[in-house]
Amino acid sequence: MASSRIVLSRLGGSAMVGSLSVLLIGLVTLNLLLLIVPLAVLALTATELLAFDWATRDFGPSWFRWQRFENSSEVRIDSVGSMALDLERVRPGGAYLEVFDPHPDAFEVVRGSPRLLTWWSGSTPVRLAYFYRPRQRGRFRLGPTIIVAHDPLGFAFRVTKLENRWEVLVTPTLSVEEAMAVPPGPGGPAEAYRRRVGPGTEFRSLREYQPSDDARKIAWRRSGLEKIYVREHEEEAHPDLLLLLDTGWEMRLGVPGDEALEQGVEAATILAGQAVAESDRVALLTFADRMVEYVPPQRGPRGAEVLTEAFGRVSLAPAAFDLPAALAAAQERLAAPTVVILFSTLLTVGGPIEGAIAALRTRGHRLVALCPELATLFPPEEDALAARTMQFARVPVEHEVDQRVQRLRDARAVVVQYPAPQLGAIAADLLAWIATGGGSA
Amino acid sequence: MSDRLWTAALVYPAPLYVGLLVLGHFGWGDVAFSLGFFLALGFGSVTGFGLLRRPSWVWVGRLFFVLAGVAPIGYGYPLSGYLFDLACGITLGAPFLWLEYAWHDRSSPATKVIALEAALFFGVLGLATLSVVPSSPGGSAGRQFLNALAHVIAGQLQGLAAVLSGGTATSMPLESTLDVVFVCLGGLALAGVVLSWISPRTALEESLPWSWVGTRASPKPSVPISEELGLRPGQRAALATRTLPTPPSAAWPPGLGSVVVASLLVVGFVSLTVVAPTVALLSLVIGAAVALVAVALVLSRQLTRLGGLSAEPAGYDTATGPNRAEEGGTTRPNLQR
Repeated sequence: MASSRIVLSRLGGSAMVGSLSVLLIGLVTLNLLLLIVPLAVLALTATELLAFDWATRDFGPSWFRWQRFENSSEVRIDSVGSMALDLERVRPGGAYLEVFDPHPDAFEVVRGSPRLLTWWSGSTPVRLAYFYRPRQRGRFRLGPTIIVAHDPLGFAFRVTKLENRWEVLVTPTLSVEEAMAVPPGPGGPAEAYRRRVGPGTEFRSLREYQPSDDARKIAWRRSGLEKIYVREHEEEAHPDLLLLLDTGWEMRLGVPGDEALEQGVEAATILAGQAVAESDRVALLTFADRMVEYVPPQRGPRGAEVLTEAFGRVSLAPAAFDLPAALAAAQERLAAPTVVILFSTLLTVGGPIEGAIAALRTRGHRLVALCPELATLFPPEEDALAARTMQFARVPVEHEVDQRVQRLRDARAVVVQYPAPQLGAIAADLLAWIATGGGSA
Repeated sequence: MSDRLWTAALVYPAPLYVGLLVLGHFGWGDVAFSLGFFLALGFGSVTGFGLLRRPSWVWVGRLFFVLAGVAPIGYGYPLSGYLFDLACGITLGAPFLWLEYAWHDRSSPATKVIALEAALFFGVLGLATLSVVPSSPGGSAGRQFLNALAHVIAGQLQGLAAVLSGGTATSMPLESTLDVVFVCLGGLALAGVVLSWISPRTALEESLPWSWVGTRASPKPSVPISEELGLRPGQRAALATRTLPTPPSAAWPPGLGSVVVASLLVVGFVSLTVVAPTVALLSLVIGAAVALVAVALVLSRQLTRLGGLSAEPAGYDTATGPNRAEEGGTTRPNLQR
């Protein structure tokens, strides 16, 4: 059983104080009428409290049977989620109950209500239902449902909770180009146009062996005495993309709800949407001091869905970002030539990054770092003094970031520093630049 | 007729009855004395029934009455004169200046009870002055009233001092003052004040044990949503069949048991007072102490710790599995939309 003690309301407390105060007046005068008033008020208040305590002496989750249903477990940020809860009282008898299903501030209730106040008689079931619109990407918990038993006179209340937390994953929306990711027919004309036989990693078909073919490509299981077949592979017109998201603590910089991490996720979502639309393969690696999640290269509508869910799960980690370890982890997982796009404030980038980048390049990969300009993560201060104070605090941090940017550039990585509000446009241009071989020098 | 008017109608007669009785006893003919009483009565009625609502006017008026009542008595006694009589009349009608707090919606129960008890206390004082034999006949009605009032208060204080020092009180003017009509009217006034509590209500404005759920109200959505949400029929059906809030009046009659118990206790106390006054007082004190201890015990008894709650974004640790059914309930399979 989990139930709070009885909490005296302001009304009940005031009634008690009032009755005791006038009792003093009655005792000074010893007048019958002046003694009756405090007696009546004290008797009423105390009896009501004791009766309420008796009536709710075993108030707790065991009073109820509950069932969550029609609950969304994954909601897109531009969409609406649903939550429904059926409650049934196990015990007979009436009670004045308030049911409240807590939800995060990031959820705006658009239909129904997460709160219900009702006179609950007998075992009549109560249904709580509401729709909400998430304002922020991420994983959120709803509940536990709180039930408050109110004394009918409002003198006191008692609280319990039902352990029925519900987790909702709010995923971002891939860019409008997502629609293009569903080509007409298998592969689609765009893919057919872009792909050709060549030294790629993906199997395309079998064909008959010719003397000029490499013997390592012979498909021995398919071949027989009469005919020998070789495997053909597709040449990748575009390199694969690996979106490397810094989820370290320094990514919390910025306005809550629109901090550096959110901007990074937004940019990564745009890039992923556009790349998937052009039938490229996109992988995702979220990393703080260790790997949080790795999503292997994805393609097509199903891949977009997988990436969207993964973007929804991205959250800040209470640790510093370790770039060399992240690059090493990426390198272990990459087969084809890949452009690694890092989203980071670069505030905690340190260690042997030159070696890590060099190792990456020797495998044919490229590193492009997208780093927001710190000043643009915060809204401009209107007050001159506040603006100067902010700038004073920012200068040493920006100096550190500049040093790290220079280290990355010296290691032959491409670093793009951008004003945070223009992130969408930067991301779109970046993809085109990568497609034309940018950063490969 | 609203609860507030009911309460006012029940509270008003008791002090009015005493005021008119005292006025009739000490002399209607003294214009200044009567004028003072009716001025206080009129102002109290105008503000109490909401005819004059501007706080500045109300408080300026009250200040005027306080000055008009206190200054002449403070500087004029034992002199006489129109201002002095006017001040005495205002003193007689003083309960009407605060009586409205006994029925105001915004007044807390403590304020209501204290306002009523203070008015009844003034009424008992006034009734006690009726039985005082004037030591020096003559003089204005105001002066006679004030002399009698001073005599009653002095007698009560002497009696209390004697009781507290272990002796026997020769006279306790307030204890012995008993006017059946006034007691009945006082009972009505008490019923009026209690009536305002009997209305069913909940402590919705109270904060729960967790600070982050302090505000439980659901604000209206900032953006209206269209019907084209893509929600499944089951989700729409759940919303359509949700339970709607019911007003507190559905709980009528709440607290009736408590009212009955309190009434029985009052009747028992009155009966005991008639049969054995000393025992009645002792039982009242002991009963009050027992009630306080019982309430304190109930309020301090923690059934089980509730533990923390969290509706914050799920954390870094992804080990815990979401959406598990726990004790007491079930979750149907996760329904994605």
